[in-house]
Amino acid sequence: MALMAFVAVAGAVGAWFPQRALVSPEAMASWEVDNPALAGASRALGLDALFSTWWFLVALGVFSLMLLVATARMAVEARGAMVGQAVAPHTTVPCVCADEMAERARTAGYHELRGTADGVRVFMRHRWGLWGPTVLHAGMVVALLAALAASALTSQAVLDLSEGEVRAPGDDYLVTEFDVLGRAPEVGRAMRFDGASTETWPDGSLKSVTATLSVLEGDAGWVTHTSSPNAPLSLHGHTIYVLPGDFGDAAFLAVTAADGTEYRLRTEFTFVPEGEAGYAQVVPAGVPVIDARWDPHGVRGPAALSLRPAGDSGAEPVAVAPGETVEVGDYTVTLVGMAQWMAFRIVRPYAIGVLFLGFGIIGLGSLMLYLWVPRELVIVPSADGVRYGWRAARMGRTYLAERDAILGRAPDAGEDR
Amino acid sequence: MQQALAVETPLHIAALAIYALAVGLTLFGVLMSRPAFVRAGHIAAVAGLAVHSAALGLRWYGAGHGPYLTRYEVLSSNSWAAMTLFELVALRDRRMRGLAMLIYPAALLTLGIGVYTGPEVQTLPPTFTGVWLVLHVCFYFVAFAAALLSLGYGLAHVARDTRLLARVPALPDRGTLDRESYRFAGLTFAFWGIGMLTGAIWAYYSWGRFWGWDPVETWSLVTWFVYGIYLHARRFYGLRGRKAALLLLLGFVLAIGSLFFTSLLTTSLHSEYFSS
Repeated sequence: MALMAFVAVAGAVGAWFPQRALVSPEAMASWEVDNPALAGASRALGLDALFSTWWFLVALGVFSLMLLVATARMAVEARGAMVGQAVAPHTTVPCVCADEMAERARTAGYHELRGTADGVRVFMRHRWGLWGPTVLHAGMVVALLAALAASALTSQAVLDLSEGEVRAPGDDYLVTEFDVLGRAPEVGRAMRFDGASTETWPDGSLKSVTATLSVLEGDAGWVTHTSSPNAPLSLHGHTIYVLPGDFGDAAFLAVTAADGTEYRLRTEFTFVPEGEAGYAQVVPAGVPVIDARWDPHGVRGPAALSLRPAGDSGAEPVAVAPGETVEVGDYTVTLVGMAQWMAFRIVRPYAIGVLFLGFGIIGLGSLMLYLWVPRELVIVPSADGVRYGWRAARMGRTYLAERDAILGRAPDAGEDR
Repeated sequence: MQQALAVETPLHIAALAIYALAVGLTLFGVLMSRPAFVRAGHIAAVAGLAVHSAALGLRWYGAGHGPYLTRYEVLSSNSWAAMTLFELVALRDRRMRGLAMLIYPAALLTLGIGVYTGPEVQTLPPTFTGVWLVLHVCFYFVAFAAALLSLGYGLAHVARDTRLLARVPALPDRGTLDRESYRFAGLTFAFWGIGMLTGAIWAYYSWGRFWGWDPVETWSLVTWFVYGIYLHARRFYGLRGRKAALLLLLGFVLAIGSLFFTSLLTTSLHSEYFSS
């Protein structure tokens, strides 16, 4: 419990302080300017990357270990309880035959576990439900350990391709997140982006996007696959995701500066919904020099692509068509062509199957806790009737009517409320 | 579909009005010790729930997706889930009806805020599809309803013998209230947990990661842990009464915060939902 409280408090702190891995550098800098005292404390204590600090990971590890120990103890207890007689027969029901009561118990779904020489008979219903807490906690252990393994050994990368562009094995990614062993994802086949098809809602916003990827499979040649949100592509131990916010059209530009230096650039516009235009900047040498407007739906005028000097809102945008060359401020720009682009997330997953198995076990444990509530009935004949003991492992009041029916008496007749 | 949307908004407002009537009748009946008014309040609430159900069904049909995207839809669904769960409980055990004086106002407030935010329909972003999303959202609806009931029972348990609640007709004894509070906290824990897990699966298929310490995810985990702490404290350390109710209150406040406010206050993957 103390560990749960510790992880909960640490989680709350981590959710309260902006995390560098989750917010943009600009947003982080802005928060630091607005909250100088908190920012100092955050940096000093590592609260800006709390979920990857050694002490938080150690706490999670210890938590997993304690959970494992608790689960083992629960398993031992459940195994012991399976044989029954956790309740002593202490209440007498007069004028009842033990055999009649046993028959009613069997009718109610109780199974007789055993009888002893002195006449004690033990019945149980849903005795596998005794394992409910164990299964639930075991699922948590499996999920937590799998999550830790997945965090450490999953590598991923962002691959940015234009229509028709091929990534050969070993080529660089746009962004790479290595696993703890320093491995990056590598499908090991040449991949080509063949384009994306979209579907829009009546208001023009994006409903779905499907990317077509071809993979060079040796003698089989190029094999075509598709990937879309919620339906990623599984390929040679890797999973390839489409990122719905990271695709659109790209302008391929040849930009020549006043000093004669030529830059070959790809300027990306994200998907432009119906009735809107898209904007991007042309950045030849780390500095934006041209503002570009992509207007595929003709919202702002007949020209699909127009350019003007960066930050000069008074300048009239210059329209440019594929193959044309125009002057924009101090630069000469040729639009070589337009093509679709898309960013893919390539993940080499680890232990995901085990993680989801853990989730399934947690779900099963939760169901067992609520649907398979174990009940135990112990009866022993006595001189004036039958002595009985009854208990439900959980939510006992719910099953009092069942117990009273077995005892052959009116509901709410008395004790054990 | 437009016709359905044209009808559902007035129906939502009608449900709101009937719930308000139910709250008024119930509170008057309790405060003035008039059981007939409490019964009338209950009947009004059931009628309101029927209208509310129709409104949500039409919304589903008219919007083309389940009622789980905008504040209007989410709050209305949460209110509906709370009312439905409570009425099912009250149907099984009539003694629980007295608790309506806590549940009805909460459901009314939730629906009222939802209606106030406006019924504009939003289209679903591409990732907001699939069975895991639906399961994720539905489990949280039930978890919210169970959390509300658990808190209601907990507070009623603490206040059972005060002058106000002593007047509530046929409210169960303190022991029953305490047990039901515990039981619904367990239900909250289970459904909240499964809601998180289905959300993790959905996130994995949508974004390629099952957990990202996103603020909404983290606050949700913290909430789950608080309910876990409550359950363990009761089971193993005999936590009862006022302290137990306070812990439940903390859990419920966290639940409200992580469900309704975190995505508005911080940058989050969940900001697409609730964005209207």
